Order: sequence, then C-alpha cells, then structure tokens
Amino acid sequence: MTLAHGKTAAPTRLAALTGPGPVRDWTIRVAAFCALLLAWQLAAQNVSVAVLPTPRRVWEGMAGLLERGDLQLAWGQTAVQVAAGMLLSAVFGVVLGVLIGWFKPVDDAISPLLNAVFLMPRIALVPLIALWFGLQDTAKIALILSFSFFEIFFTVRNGVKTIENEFVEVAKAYCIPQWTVLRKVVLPAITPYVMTGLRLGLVYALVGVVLGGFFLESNGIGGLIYALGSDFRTAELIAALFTVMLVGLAVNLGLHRLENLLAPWKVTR
Amino acid sequence: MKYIKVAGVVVFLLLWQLAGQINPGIYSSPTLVVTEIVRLFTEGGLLGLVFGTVATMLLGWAFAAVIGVFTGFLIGRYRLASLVLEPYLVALYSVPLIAVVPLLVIWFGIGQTFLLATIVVATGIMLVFPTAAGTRETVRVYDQVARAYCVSGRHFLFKVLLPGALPFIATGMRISVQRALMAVIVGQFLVGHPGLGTLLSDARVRLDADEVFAVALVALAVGAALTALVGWADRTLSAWRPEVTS
Amino acid sequence: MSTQKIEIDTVGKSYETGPRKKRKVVHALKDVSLTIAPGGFVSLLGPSGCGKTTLLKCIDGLIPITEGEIRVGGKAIADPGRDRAFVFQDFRLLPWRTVLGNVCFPLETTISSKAEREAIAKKYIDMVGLTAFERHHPHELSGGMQQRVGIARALAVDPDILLMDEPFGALDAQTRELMQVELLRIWELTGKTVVFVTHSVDEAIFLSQRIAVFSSRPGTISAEFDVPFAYPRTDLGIRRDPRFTDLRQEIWRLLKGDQNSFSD
Repeated sequence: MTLAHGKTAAPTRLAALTGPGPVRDWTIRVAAFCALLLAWQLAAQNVSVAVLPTPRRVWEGMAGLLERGDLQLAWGQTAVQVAAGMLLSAVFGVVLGVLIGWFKPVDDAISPLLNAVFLMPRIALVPLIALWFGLQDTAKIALILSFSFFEIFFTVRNGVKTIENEFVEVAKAYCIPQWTVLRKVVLPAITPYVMTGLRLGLVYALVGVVLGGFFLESNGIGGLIYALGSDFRTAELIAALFTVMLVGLAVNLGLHRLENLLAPWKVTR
Repeated sequence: MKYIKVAGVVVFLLLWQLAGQINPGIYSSPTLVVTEIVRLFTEGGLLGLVFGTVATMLLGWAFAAVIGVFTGFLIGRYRLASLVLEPYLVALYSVPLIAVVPLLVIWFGIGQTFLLATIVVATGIMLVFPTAAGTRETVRVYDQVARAYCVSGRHFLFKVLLPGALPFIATGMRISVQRALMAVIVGQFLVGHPGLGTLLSDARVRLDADEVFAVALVALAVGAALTALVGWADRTLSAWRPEVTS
Repeated sequence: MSTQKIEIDTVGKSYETGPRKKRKVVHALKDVSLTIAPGGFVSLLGPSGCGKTTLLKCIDGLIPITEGEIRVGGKAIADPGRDRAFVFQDFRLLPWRTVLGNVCFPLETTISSKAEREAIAKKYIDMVGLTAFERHHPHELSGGMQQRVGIARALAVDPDILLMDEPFGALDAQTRELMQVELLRIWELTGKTVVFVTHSVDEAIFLSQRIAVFSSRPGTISAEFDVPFAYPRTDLGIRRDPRFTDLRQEIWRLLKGDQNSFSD
C-alpha cells in the first residue's frame, strides 16, 4: 500500500493535506470524527431524547453530574474499592504466581483448582459473595478480587515458567544457589510479566467494580450507571459511560508506559 | 505429576466436606451441593435454563463473530478503514464494555434482542484485532503470490484471505467465549430474563448456601464445557493448516 | 591420577518419552568415550539432534547421565562446578543487567567485595574488547557483541574448562569468522581447555586440535580426527592448504554416510 505512493516531489502545502504522511492521516481522522458527530446529531434529532440525546445534551448532562458532585462521589467510592481490591490481588497474585510457578509440585497440586475457577464466569460468584460478605464494600472488594486476581496470578505464573528455560539454566550452569536465583534472576526477569498482569488485572477490576455496582450495593460508578439507566436519564447515562471509557483508557495507557519504562528490554524481544 | 493433581482435588473436596460438617449454612458441602444440583435438575428445570442460555449465547456470539470479523477484515485490508476506525476500536478494546448494558436496556428492551446486543457489544471487539492481524499477515505473505498467478477479487478473498485468516479468527473465538458467556449471564441477571442469570438472582435473594454453591458450580461446568468445545474446534480448524501451506 | 583433563567413559544418556501406555526409550547418547588433554581444543561435530549438545551439558552437569562416568581432573562429576563454564548458543544474558552486571553475575556468590568483582569483570570485558560498552544493556548490542559478553562471563569465573555450545551459530557469516579468530586468541592467551560444539565442518577444522564426529540415533562418536595445523592459525593460510581440503572431504563423506543411513 505505502509502496504505491512513493514520494516524488517536494511537498507543497496542499500536497501535505492530500498526499501521504501523518498530516493527511490526521486530516482523515478529524474529518471522520466530525462526520461521526454530525451523524449522531442528525440521528438524535429524529428520535426521543430518552433513546438518543444529542451530543450537546450529553455534554450538559456531564456538566450537571459534575456540578451536583454525583460523578466525583461515585468515582471516589469506586477508587477506594478498586484500590483495596487491586492491592490484595496484586500481593496474592504476584506472591502465589511466583511460588506456584517456581515449585512444580505446588503447581501440580493447586493449579487444577485455580484453572477451574478461571473457567467460571466470575459473575456467578455474586450470590456466594453476598452470602459470605454481604453487599457492602467488603463484598465488592471480594468481587474485584475474583476478577483481577486470576489475571495477575496466571500472567505471573506463566512468566515464571517461561523464564525458567531461558535464565534458570544459566544460573544452574554457574552454580548459583536456588534462593539467590529466585532473588536475582526470577524476580527481575518477571518484572514485565508482573506489569502486564497488573494492567490486565486493573482492567478486569474495573469490570468487577462496575458489576458490583449493578448486583451488590448500588454505589460507585456501577451504581450510578445503573440508577441513571433505570431512570431513563439517557444523556447523563451516556456521559457517565464516557467517564468509564476515559478511565479505562487512561489506566491502560498509563500502565503501558510504566511497563516500557520498567522493563525496556522486553520491547526489543 | 498426575497423582499430585488428583491428590490436590481430593484434599480440597475433603476439606470442603469437613468445613460443611462444621457450618453447612456458610460452606455447604460437596454432598449437599450435589443433592441441590439434582434437585435443580428435577424440579427447577435446570437443563432447560442452561440450554436456553447456551443457545442465546451461541446465537449472539455468532452475530458478534460476523460483525467482528467483518470489521477486522476492513481495517486489515483497507488503510482508510484502519485510519478512521482503529483509534476507536483500540480504545474500546481496553475499557470495561459491560458497563454499557443499562444503555442497551434502553435501546433494546428486556427481551432476546437485548441479550444478543449485550453479547455482540461485549465480544465483537475481541474478534476485530485477531482478524485484522490475520488479514494483514495473509496479505503480506500472499499478495504478490496471488498477483503473480493472476488470482484476484473474489477468488483472492475466499481462496486465500479467508482461509489464511481462519486460524487467527479461531484464536479470537477461543479468547472470547468466556466473555460471551458472562455477557449473557449479566444480561439475564440484570433484566430477569430466564436462564443462568435468573438462577443467580434467585440465589442472591434467598442466600441458601447449597443453592449458591450449586449455581456457581453449574456456571463453572458450562464455562468449562464451552471452553473445551471451542478449544477442540480451534485445534480441528487449525489442523489442516500445515498441509495447505506446504 | 590420569594426565587427561576430561575423561568421558562409555557414557550413555537415555530417557523415556510418550504417553504412559506407549513409553519409548530414546538413547540420546550411547557408549560415548573421549578424552581431552589439559589446554586442549576439541570440537564435537555432527548434524543437529545427534546428541553433541546433550554431551556438552552432561560434561557441565546440567543433565545427569544414565550410564558410564564423566571425570574432570580425575574426579567423577554429577553437578555443575566452578571448574567448568558454559557458553550458550543464544547468549542467555540477563536483559535487565548491563554488560558489567552480566559478567559480575556468576561472581556474586563467591566474591563479596563489589570492587573486586568489578575489577575481575572489567579485565575480561577488556579481553573481549567491549570496555567501551560495559554500561550498555544487552538489547543495545549486536549478536556478536552479546556473545563476547557471554564469553567474558564464562572467563570471569576463571574455569579450567570452557564448554561452548554452538556459540557462533546465531551470528552472521562475517561476524562468525571474526569471533573464531578472537576465540583462538583468547584460548592461546588463557590456556583453557575448550570443548566446542558445532555443526560447521570448516569451523571445527579451523579452531580445533581434534574433532570428534558424532553420528545420530543413538548419538555416539563415529570417528576422531587430528587437525594437523599449528597455532597461531590464520584463516587464509589454512584454507589454501591441501590437507584442509582432504580433511574436510573425509569428514563430509562420513557425515553424508550418516545422512544416508538415516533415510533408509
């Protein structure tokens, strides 16, 4: 594709807009975005506001949510729940991932059970969590844990198993004792896997916290979305959904950056 | 070692049974759960609910696959489509899409259409990128071969591109099956559409330990069965690959 | 006490494979015997999958043998030891450590002073010509440079024996020739005993004093050749020598016979 449009002459200002290159690409993207907004506007003018509000109304809905402090309150509650859930699943996921990946008999004994739970749609744990932990914050943290723990655990465990072949044989050849290998080889080598696991875990923690707001106590961002949906306040609902998208995206991009920063060698492999 | 695996499961079941003897109201026990599953089968119409749920899931998943594969093919084959769509698709890939379910209720009501829409929204995106990758890879490898032998248009699409991208699509299906199942259960749970989801909402209301565990185990069994099925399909679909390429 | 550095005495290595009902015993090595003198340079040559790498790992103690005995300096070995150092085909440097950190790595369990470790490491980094790169990370280096680090790491533990597993197999042809010359220079400088695994006939002839040719299934040594050239060697000088062509042809014929027996 790109081979077909070779650069032939010095680009003029017009050619910069129509010829190949990043400028043209961005022109197309921006034009497409405007077309999308326009299509939304046109579609919204012809249906009830409860079904599809105009972009302007969504914007006003967002302003209203912020003014009343609904969004701030909801995200505040959500942040606390996610932070607690992530802390627990990060600690358990990484520690168990390393130990179970490193000691094969433990892996054999425990992995079939964990594999089984991994195959279960975690939403099915909601009644069990309600039975054990009620519907409040503890229950939500448990639900978040059930979503994010497995992502972190399996990523780290598989990481340990992968690096085993590559680096552990080196350590063996140079007579390094096992605990030193764990400390000086395994722990640094799994950094990229831990980072990937944390990123996946956080995305799943967001899924868990939203579902927690739907099916456990109705608070946080999930509760807000649920309440706005049941009241048919569609403009504000869409505004709230945009914040979820934004947070999800920011979390992902931020952790991607951090991943490349902490383990730059992974990039070239 | 196989023995250690079996031993791990046995020890777990024994511990669970023991915990159940002490406080069956919280831990239930393997025997109580089995009894409860049998009761759900005979009195609760479990089989019908499971089949209904799986059927809905498969239908929605098929829609998701068609839409996802088509989108993936577009952005993999055409640079313009990739320029316009890819930023949004990449963004959607990394966000908790399940959050839009309340909006889908407003748009599609609380019937079968809503469930299908939920599955499409939750899983369609997972097929886009594998398909796009497969398409790009196939184009890269075979485009010049096809042109050298004057194969073009429909022939290229159906005889080269689609078979070439198929293993990638199969991978996309494999990683999305869990999410499809969760989407349908969440949908049923939220609007009370009969199926596995309503079993969950009943159990959450009654908080009977036997029922709670039984429902979770049934969900686990369905998830495991679907995963095994898709894994088998993936292996079968990819099995011809070396023979075709050699 | 024997005067040999390494004695490989009717060594066999077999393992079971396949599902439980259809267990098959595979003989990776069978009746392998070989002796290597102190300061010698011996190549193990053969097609891929013939067991030469397995034998090398057995000499290091990374893989346990099932029959016979391997003696190093007269003592039977079972585990990796500090008297032997292994150089891997795919380098296996620790990607999060610098060149210096990688060479220091095996010293950290034996030498407690950091300054002392670094002094030793620097000496060998200098020997392989990488002093300007000691603060670089492996992914910033070319393949040839990475393997120089691998060799420096092996030398740093000051072993009697260097075990090299196709160390130049992942490099391009030109780099490979440069590294061969470099390796001979280091060998003559340090006087280590080298066991060198390769599947390149030319490489084996150019580098070694003696070549043990492997045949596969079961892996065993089918012939040994003495290489008649004196050191220091230069590539051109040797290749023009008619004895080089003769030796090369003879080894080729042997390897080809092995290939044919494979296909029937």
